[in-house]
Amino acid sequence: MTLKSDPQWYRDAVIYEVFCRGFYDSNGDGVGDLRGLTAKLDYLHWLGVDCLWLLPVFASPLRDGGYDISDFYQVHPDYGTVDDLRELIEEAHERGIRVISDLVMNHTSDQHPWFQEARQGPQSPKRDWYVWSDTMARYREARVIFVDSETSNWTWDDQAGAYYWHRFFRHQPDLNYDNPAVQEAMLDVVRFWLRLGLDGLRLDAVPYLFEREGTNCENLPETHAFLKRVRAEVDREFPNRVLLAEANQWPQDVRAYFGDGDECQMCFHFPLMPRMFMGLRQELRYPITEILSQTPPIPSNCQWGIFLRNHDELTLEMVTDSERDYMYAEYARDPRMKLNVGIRRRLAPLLGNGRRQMELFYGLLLSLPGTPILYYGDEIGMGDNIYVGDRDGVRTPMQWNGDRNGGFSTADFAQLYLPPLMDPLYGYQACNVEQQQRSQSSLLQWLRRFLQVRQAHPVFGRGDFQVLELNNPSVFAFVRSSPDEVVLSVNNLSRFSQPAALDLSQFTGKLPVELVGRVPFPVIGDQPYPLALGPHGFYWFRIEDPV
Amino acid sequence: MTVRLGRAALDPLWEVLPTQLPEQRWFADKQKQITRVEPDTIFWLQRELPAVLVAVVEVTFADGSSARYQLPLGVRSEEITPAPPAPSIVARLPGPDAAGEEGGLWVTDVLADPEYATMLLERLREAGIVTGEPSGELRVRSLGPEPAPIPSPLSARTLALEQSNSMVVFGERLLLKVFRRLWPGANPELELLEALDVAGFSGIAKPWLAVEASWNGETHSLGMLQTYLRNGTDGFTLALTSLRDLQADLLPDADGEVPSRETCDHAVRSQGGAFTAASRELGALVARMHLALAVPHLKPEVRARAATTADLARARERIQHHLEALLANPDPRLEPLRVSRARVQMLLRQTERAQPTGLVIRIHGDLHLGQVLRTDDGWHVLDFEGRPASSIQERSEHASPLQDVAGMLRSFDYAAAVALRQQAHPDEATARTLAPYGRSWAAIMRNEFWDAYRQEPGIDSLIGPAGEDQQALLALLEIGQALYEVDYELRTRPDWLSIPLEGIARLAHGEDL
Repeated sequence: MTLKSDPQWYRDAVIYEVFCRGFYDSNGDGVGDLRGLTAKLDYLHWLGVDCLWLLPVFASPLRDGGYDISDFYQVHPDYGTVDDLRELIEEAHERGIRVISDLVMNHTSDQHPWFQEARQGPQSPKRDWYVWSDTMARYREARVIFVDSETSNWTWDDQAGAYYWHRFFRHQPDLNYDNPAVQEAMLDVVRFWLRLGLDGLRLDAVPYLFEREGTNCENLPETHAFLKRVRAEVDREFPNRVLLAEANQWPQDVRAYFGDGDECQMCFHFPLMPRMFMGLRQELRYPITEILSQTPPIPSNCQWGIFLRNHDELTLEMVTDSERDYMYAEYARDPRMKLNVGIRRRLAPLLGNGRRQMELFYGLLLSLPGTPILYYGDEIGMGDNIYVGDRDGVRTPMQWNGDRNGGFSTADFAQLYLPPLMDPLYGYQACNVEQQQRSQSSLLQWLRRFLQVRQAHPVFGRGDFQVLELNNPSVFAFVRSSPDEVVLSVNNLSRFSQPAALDLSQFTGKLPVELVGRVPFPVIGDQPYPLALGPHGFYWFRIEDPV
Repeated sequence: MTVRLGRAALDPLWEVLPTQLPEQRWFADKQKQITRVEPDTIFWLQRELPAVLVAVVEVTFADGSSARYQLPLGVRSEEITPAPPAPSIVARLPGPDAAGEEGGLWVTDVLADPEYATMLLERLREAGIVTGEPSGELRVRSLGPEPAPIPSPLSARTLALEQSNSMVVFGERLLLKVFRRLWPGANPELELLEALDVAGFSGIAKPWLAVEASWNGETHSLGMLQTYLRNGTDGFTLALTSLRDLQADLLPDADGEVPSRETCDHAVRSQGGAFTAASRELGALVARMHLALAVPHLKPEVRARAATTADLARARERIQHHLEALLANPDPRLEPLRVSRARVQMLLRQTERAQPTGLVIRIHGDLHLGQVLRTDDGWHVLDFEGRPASSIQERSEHASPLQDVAGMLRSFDYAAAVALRQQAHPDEATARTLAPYGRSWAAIMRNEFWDAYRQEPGIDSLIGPAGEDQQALLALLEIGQALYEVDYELRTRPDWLSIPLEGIARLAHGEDL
C-alpha cells in the first residue's frame, strides 16, 4: 500500500493522536516507545485511521510531557532513537498511514543548551535567543495561561541576573523570534524532521511567538508573517506536508492562522468540543449551532481539526464565564477533575460511560465539517485517573488486553511510568482492545465500521455544511454537500426519543438512503420530512435519485 | 406577443371569491356568511402576463358588516408549464378577449406560489410608488439608511405558521410578512419594530421595507420585509425541554410524600438542562427592549412619557371590570376565582393609593415565552401585534412596562403547568410528586427573569424604585394577565382552567417572588 499523492490529503484524513509513552512498551522498561508504536501499526491500520499524530518524542527533561524540549535533533532515549522514528514513519507509510509530530516552536526547556548558554551572562552569544528583562513590568497585558502553577510570565534567573519570559511553565523559556538567528535555527529544525519523512508538524502554542508592548502578545502580525515564511519554505522543499496550528482562540481569531491558504493548512477548532458537551447536557442544538455560525469560512485548501478529547484538559478558555461555570458543575463535580481552565477527563467518563452518548459524539465528530482527531484509548472507551497530577490522568497506559499491565508492558508494575487503570468499570480487565476486537458489538468494532463509512464518502471531509431548520430544538440536522454527493446527518441530543420534521424542500423527489446499511427511506415529498430518533440516536443519509 | 391585462379581465374572479375565501387559512371571518366580494382597488405590479397584482377587496357579510382583505395575486396563461402548485390556485379565468387568446388564465395566491412570490418582491423593490386602479397609491418605504439585503438569485418558500398573516422566506435571509385583514391607520407592530430599530435594539427581526397603500383618504399597512430569523426555537418549547429534563429524573414517591421546597429547589438548581441562564438572558433582553422604547428620539406616537394617575387608574379599572365580568359568570368552574376575590380587591385598593412613578411606554402587549425566539445569535422578540383579544386602541396605548414583565412571569407558570400535564402518567401520585418541582422551577425562573430585568442599568427610570408598591402593581398586572387566560381557557381548553385560577390564588396571597 502506498500513500496517495494529494497535497490536500489532510482534508480526507482521520487522525489518531498517540502518546508514545503510554502506547506500547517494546523493551519492557515500563515506558512506551517508538518500536512499540511501530509494532502496533497493524492495529491502527485495522482500525482505519490514516494519520498518526505523535505527541513530542524529542529529548526532554519531561517536566511537561515532552513539550519542554532540550534538544530538537534528538529523540528522548526512553522512546528510542532517530532511526526508530525513521522506521516508524516508513512502516506507517507502507500501511498508507501518514505521521505528523508535535513541534514546540514557542519555547525550549530550561535544560536546552541554548538557554544554558544564554543565562551565562549578557555577553553570551545565545543571550538574545531568549526574552530577558530587568523588570517584570513589561508585557503586562499578556495573560498567564497555566494559572494553577504560575503567577507571572516573568521568572527571575539568578545566574543570568535577569527575568526571562515564559508563557507557560517557568521551566519553559520563550524563544526570541525577533532574533533572525532563532528563526533560522527553528527553520532548520523543521527541515530536519521533514527530511526524515514526517508528513507534517503540529505547531504547538503558535499564537505566542512574538511579544509587543501594549498588546496581549497573542496573534501578532509578526507571528503570522513568520508562519507564512515557514509554510513557504516547507512548500518549496517538501511536497504534500501539512502544518497544523494549535491556537486555542475563538474561531474568528484562529481564522488568521490559515492566512490566504498560505499559512497553516489546519487549525484546531477548540470551542466546538465544550459546546458539544453543553448541547448534550441541555438536550439542545443551540450551543453547537451557535459556535458553528460564528465560525468563519476558511480558504478552500484549509481544514479545521476537530476532536472530542485530547491529551490536555478539556479546555474551557473559549467559553463564556457562565458557560464555564455550567461545564464545571455538570462535568467536573469533583474539584480534582478541574485543571487550569478546564476539565481533565477522558471521553467515556465525561459521558458517564454511556454507549449511546459516545456513539452520538463519534457520529457528530465524523460528520461535522473538519478532520476528526481521535485520542488514543478513547476508541475503546478508556477511563481516566483523576488522582494523579497535572494531565497524567488522561495519559495512562493503553489497555491492550486483560493480561499483566493491560498488555502494555512486561515490566514490573512498580516500574511503569503510570499505573494502568484497574477499576472494575474502566480497568484493563474490563476494557481492552483484545476483548473489544472479539466482541462484534463493542464500541471499537462500531467505531471501525463508521470510520469505514466515512472514508467511503469524501463529502464528509470536503463538503459544504448547512444547518437545517427544524421544529425540535433537541435535534440537530445538517447537510454536507459536494458536487458528487449529498449527505444528511440527523442527531438527537436528547436522552429521550424525539420526532423531527425536516425541511428537505431542497431535495423534493429525492431518496434518502441510510449510509451504514444502505437502507432506502421514503422519498422526500413537499411536506416536512418526518423522522423518529431513538435516545441519542443519529442517522446518516445519502440523498440519491430514486431508482 | 405581450398581453396586458385590464381590470375587466379579473371580473369573473370576484364571483368566485365568496366560495374561495372561507377556504383560506388566513381568512378571519370564516364563521360569517359572505354576501358579496368587490374590489376596492387594484395595484398592478406587472400588467403583462405573467402578471402580478395586489387586489384589495371589500367583503360584505350577511349580518351587514364588512371587512377589507388583501390578495396578492399572480396571473399566468394556462399554456405555461408547469402548472402552478395546486394549493396556490385561486381561480381559473377565461382568457382576455382583447388578445384573442383561446386559453384560460390561472390566478394564484402568490404567497403560496414561490416562483411568483419572487416576482412580487422584485417588483416591489423596484416599484417605489404604484398607482391604483381606479384610485389610490401603493408605496414601498425603506425603513433605514441601508438597502434591504435582497439576495440574488432569489429563492422563496412559504411558511405555514401563522393564521392571520401570510409569510414567505426569501433566500433564507428575509421574511415578507403580508397582513391579510387590513385596518386603516398605522400598524402597531410596524411602528414598534421601526422604533426599536431606530433605537438600535437588535433583539428583533430587523425591518427593512414597509409596504403601505392609501385610497379614499385612508392609509393601510399591507406588509413588511424583515430579516428572517433562521434556525429558531421559541422560548416556550425550550422551557418545556428544560422541564422534561427535570421531570424525567423524578419518580413518584411510593408513600405519596410531597417533597420539600428545599429538595425541589436543589433539583432545579443542579439540573443539567436548567433554564436559569435563559431566564436571565430573557430578563435582560426585555429590559433592553423597554429601555430602547424609552429613548427620547422616537416618533411622538411611540415616545415614552411620565406615568400618570390616569394611566394607573385605567389599568386598574380594566382589571376590575374584567374580574367583575368573570365573577358575574355563574359557571361553577370559576368558583376558585370567587374565593380569591377579596384578596384581589385588596390588591386593587393597595395600588389605588400608590403614586404613579416611572414611565409609560408602547409595550409589546402580548409578551410570553412563545413570543421569544432563540437563534444562533441569541434571543429575539417576535410578534408586536399585541393581545389578539384586545381592541386596536388598547393595543397602541402607552402602558407600564411591567405589563410585559407580568406576561413573561405568567408564562413561566404556564410552562411548568403544561409540562406537568404532558407527563405520561397524569395520575394523582405522580402529580403530587412532580407538581412541587414544577412550582419550584417556575418560581426560580420567575425570580431569575425579574432579577435580571431589574439589574439592567437604567431600568429604574422606567419602572420606578423597587418596593411594596411596585410588587403590588406587578402582582395586579399578573392577575390581569391571568384573567385573560381564564377567558381563553374557558372558551378553548376548560381542562386547563386551573392553571390561571391557581395562579391568581397564589398571586392574590402574595406567594412567589
